[in-house]
Amino acid sequence: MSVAVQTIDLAIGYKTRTARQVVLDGLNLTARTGEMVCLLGTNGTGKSTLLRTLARIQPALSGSVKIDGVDLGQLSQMELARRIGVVLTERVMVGALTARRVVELGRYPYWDWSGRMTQADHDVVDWAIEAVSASHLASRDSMSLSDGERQRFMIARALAQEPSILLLDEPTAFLDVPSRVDLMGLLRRLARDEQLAIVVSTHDLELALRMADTLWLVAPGNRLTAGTPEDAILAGSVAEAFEAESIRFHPEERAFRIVADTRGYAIVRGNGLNAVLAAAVLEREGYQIVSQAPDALIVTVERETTSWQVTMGGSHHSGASFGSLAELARALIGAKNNTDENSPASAAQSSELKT
Amino acid sequence: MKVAPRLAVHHSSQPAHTVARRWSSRSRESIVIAAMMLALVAVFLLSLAISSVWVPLDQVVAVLTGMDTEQSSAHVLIREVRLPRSLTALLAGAALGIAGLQMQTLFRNPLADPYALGIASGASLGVALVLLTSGAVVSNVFASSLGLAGDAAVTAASIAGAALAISVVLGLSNRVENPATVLILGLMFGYAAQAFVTVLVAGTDPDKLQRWVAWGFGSFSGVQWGKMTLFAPLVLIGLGISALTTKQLNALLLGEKYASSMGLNVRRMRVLTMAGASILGGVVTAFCGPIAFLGIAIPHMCRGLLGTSDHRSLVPATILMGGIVALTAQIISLLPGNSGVFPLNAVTSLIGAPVVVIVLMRNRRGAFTA
Repeated sequence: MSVAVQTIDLAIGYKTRTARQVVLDGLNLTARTGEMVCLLGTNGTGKSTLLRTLARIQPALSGSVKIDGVDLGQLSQMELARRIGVVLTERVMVGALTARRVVELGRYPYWDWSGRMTQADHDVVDWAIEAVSASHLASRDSMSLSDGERQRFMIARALAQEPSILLLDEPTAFLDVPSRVDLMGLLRRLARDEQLAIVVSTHDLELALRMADTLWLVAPGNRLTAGTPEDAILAGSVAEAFEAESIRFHPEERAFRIVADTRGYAIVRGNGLNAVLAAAVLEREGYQIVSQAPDALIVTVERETTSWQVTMGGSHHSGASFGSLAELARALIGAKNNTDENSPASAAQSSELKT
Repeated sequence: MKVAPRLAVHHSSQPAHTVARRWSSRSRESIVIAAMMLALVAVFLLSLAISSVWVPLDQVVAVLTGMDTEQSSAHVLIREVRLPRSLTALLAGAALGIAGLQMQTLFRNPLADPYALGIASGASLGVALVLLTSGAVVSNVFASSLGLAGDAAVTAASIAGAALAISVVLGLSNRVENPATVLILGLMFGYAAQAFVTVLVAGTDPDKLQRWVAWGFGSFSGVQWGKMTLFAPLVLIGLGISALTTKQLNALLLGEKYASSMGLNVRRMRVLTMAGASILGGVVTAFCGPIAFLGIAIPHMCRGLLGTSDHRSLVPATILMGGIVALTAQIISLLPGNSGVFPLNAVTSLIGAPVVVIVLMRNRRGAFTA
């Protein structure tokens, strides 16, 4: 675990002839080898700007970046390519090029003038493709791969540069859910197995909270805090970075929930997965789950089945699926609203739900 | 489902398998390139034999190898007329193909070529400025011999026009994302250049106008041995740039950002490629007229035959294929009985346009589709 990336009083942003727009400043960050850093923040907070500055795609406004202890500005372009591999969001479509040849392009900083692949080059390419578990796809045309598969080969191509640092800008943006989880898992494994320092920006908060060794969290107001996910949760930085009027971060679940008006109270009896899911159904319908309340719905769930009983006031209902529970919950709220408006319809008797 | 093949990967069978695949794709490329070499030799000999007068192939070979020492009329015909013409066709075809390939890679656009990006129009403007405005000092490069100075002036103007076009279009293309917009910018530049040319043409005398129109038909016959000393070296410089930058062109396949992250000095490469394409497009336009469609069609033919976008194979294949197609077009346009009736440009368009249509229809499988 050595320091691979270090920023010292770094300020990033854009400079035009007339103006200087600072996006983030006073950054003192470190990323170590063997560690995966997830860079999180809402759109427009400067995640891409930071990654681009670390990769020297754009210049820093002030301060410095050290790569393996060497100042970023002092590295030649070839040296830089041998230390930092980059993967971008954009879909790169190159027809009539096998996936393997895409990876071979990563040997660019090691080629002589002719661009001929030596045996050593081929060995590194084999290793890189193996490292992303994609050997069985290597001879396919890169256009025929799925987005997730193609992104794996783009990572293999970055690995073929034999860097000590991987910078990835939202590599999961176009991917479906299994591919996202897969790719983040892959990055984590690469960080550990190949002793790489990986910095990856993502919008996948829950995945990042579970998989990152370190979070770089950009909160509104241009503040960046760094720390392990659990420290960040405890310190409230995660909530601060993302909370809005309509969503609230729930630390125990490490997830966000939509803030809605409470339409009733419910007590869930039972345990195991089914009880948790029953509570989720009721929450979605606007009930607050409590342990005690005078006019609460009392929901009892069987342990191994989805059959449920509801007691409210004097009436009893039962059913055998969460679908019917949701239907009942909706009907009860509807009935309650009607009663509130002094309508003649009454709540309790109307439900005959027996699915 | 996913675990099984992953485990199998670690057994020894898999690497051997990959090596075999790797070898087979490379061997296909070698075979295609070897076949192209043979085809080029055959078409080259045919182009020397077929024209207004048929010269038997054995006599052609005899002249080429120096076995035929008697100064027969066929000997003079081949030495002084057909050989420079066929060499010009070969070089011009290679030049246009390479310029098209460079543009397609640099702009990451399958429909880019010297024509679409306004290079040919820019070059035409340069030629027109010199040809139509300068009185008797400089004459049409292929009408008569006024010495190398005149040729050099026209050529320089043509290259300058081409360079202007490509810098304007590339400058603007950095501000737009959509590849189609870039092509439209190129077309617009072409129209603007063409408008200037029209103004020049309108004010010129009928004699020059006639030569201008003939130049517009395109021809490989204008480069005699004297002009070849200017034409060939310039084309070879342009081809040399592409041959020495195949690895850089490969890096550009993934776009400029990735290329830069892998160690390519993108700005320098861009200038070098633009200079090369300007020289190739400008020189050919100056000496042979604006020849349509070869630039766009030849790289696509080669990608299709080779099955790869790898420039290490694509550059030599494009040079060979450019020669083959240009010589074929020349043979067709000069078939006995239709000389003058079937201009070169009509032939290249008839060959090239269908290729472009096919590329458009199969766009999803071609290079650089977005």
